[in-house]
Amino acid sequence: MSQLTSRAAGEKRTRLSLLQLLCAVSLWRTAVTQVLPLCGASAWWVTLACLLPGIGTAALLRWIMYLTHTDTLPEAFRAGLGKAGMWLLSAVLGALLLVEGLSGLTVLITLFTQGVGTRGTPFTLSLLTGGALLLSLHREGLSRAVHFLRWGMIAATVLIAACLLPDARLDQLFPLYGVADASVPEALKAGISLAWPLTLLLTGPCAKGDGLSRAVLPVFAAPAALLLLTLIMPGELLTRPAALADLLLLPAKYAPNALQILYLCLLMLTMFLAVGAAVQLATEQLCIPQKRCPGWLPHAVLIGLVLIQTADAGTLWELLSAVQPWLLVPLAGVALLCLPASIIRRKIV
Amino acid sequence: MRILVLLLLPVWLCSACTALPAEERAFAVALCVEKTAEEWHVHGRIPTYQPGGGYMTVAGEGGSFSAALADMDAASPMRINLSQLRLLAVDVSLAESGGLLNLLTTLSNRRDMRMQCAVALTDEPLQSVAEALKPAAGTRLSKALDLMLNARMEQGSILPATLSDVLRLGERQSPILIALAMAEGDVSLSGGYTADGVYLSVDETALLSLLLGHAKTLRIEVTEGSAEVRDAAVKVCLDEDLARVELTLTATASSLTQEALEQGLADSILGLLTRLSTAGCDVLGLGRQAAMHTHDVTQWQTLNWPEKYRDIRWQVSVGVSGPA
Repeated sequence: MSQLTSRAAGEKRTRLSLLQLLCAVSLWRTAVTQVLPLCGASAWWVTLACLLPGIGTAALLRWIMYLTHTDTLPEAFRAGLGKAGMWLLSAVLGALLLVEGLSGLTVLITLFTQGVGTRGTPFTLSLLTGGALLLSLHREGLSRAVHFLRWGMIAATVLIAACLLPDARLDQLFPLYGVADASVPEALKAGISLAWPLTLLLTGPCAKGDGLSRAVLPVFAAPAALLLLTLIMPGELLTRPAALADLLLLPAKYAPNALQILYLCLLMLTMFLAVGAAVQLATEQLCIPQKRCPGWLPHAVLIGLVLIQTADAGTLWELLSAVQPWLLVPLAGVALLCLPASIIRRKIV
Repeated sequence: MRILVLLLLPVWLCSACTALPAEERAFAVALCVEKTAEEWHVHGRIPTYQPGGGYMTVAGEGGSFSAALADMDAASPMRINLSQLRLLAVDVSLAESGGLLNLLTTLSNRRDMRMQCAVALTDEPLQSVAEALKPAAGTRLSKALDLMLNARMEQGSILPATLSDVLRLGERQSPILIALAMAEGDVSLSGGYTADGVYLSVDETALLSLLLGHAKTLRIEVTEGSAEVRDAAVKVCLDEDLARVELTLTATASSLTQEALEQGLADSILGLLTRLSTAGCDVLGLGRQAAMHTHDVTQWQTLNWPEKYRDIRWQVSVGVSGPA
């Protein structure tokens, strides 16, 4: 039994690492590509503000779990709204994770083609990346790989931050409300849904009791990194019009070559793993109502995402950027739908 | 096996990431840029890749800077790559006409640009400058330039002025670029230029080196003598339109009395800062202190710091201690 218990605990830890990676990468990607170009030096506190809707939605979902005395969200929705509720939740979370995977893959391919200058067309690079992901998509293997690599990724992040810190200047935080043509309200609108992955993290079985504070730590990596970016670069450089790839490479643009390479490797690795995580979690969510997941489904989903990369990357990114601010709406909607039923059920019980 | 693939993937992808293999690129060590009335001229110093080493100059010209770079690329035996650039020398007339920042921004947008290259201004013919760049010792020009730049910075003859430093100063502080000159056929780096092309002598650059904290130990020349100083500490405060500069240092050797040295230094620094502020060069970064009192962009723009700075009054006090 102890072997089973320790195995279950280990799987919980690896699962938590996977969710933390997905949250951290998603927040960073959205903050750098959607929020930072709009508000420049204010990006760090605007991102912190944009976490609130996601935290609120997660709190609402946790309350539903508390009212229904369940340990997982699907069980809570099944208790509140029946099987239809469970299907609805699966569909919403599955769709959100698919959008997340598509955004991650689009950004990764754009980074390869326009940021680094890799030989090949976007589609051939998608095939290459998709092929590597197909090898990596294993039910427990991916989460174990993320858990295994976590200290390496954290160490690389800390090293990059430590090397950039000597260039920090406190005055570059001011004016607090932005610099040049910055627009804080527009940035808030663009980033309002950036914290939707928090709902997965905060409603997981790992985020209970003492584990909650440790579980959410990576979430604050994005605002902390943006704060550092603001301190090391003047606002006029942060809000200069730039392409998607240039925005991703901005943090290390003015750093020595070695640091640029380290940052690039860390970015590619974390984004690659986050795409795999999104695909795996999406297929899990879609299969929850059926209680079984065909082994070929994650691979089929991944192939679908790769095939979508045949579309023009610029148009695809515009579409994904237009959808990004609305991602929290369906999740908040289903939560508000389930809440009255959960309250009524609690009163009856 | 899968974990191994994940670990090796970044290495694999990075190795596929180079646009050209190393042997198919010409790494420019120095780039010289000038602009006449009609055309841009660029001169790149690249290795010949022959046994025994040696360097050659490739040139390009065009109606725009990008066209000139493309022309230089076409004239080069291999594709030019700027990832090993050590020195960017620009004609001072380009700075005087206000085109320097655009040039530096254009270069910084290149994917292969080395942001730690030193930026220098010169009024010498750029082709002669490029031809004169030879390794003084050893066979690597890049190493020779690195050593020369480090040595001049330690001596206080020049201030650090990399492309990264210059661009990241932004609107709140003005850079002091390196002054490049030719002396008996060799390239000499001493003194400085503001971004608008105002020349600073070696002594003035040494004073700025003390004020900006780049040199803690220095030999400085004042009107009536000279002194070896160390442990310099500077405090700069902005109070409305009055800027107070307090400099304390230790003199280890001096041909002047303490009072004479203090007065001489204070007069030299006051004269220098007044000249720079009249020219609109905020070398001490007072704009940073001004920005900290603003809370939104409208207030910062209303402040109109570049114009306000020209009317700044200076108050300089120097305290010298030590065995000399």
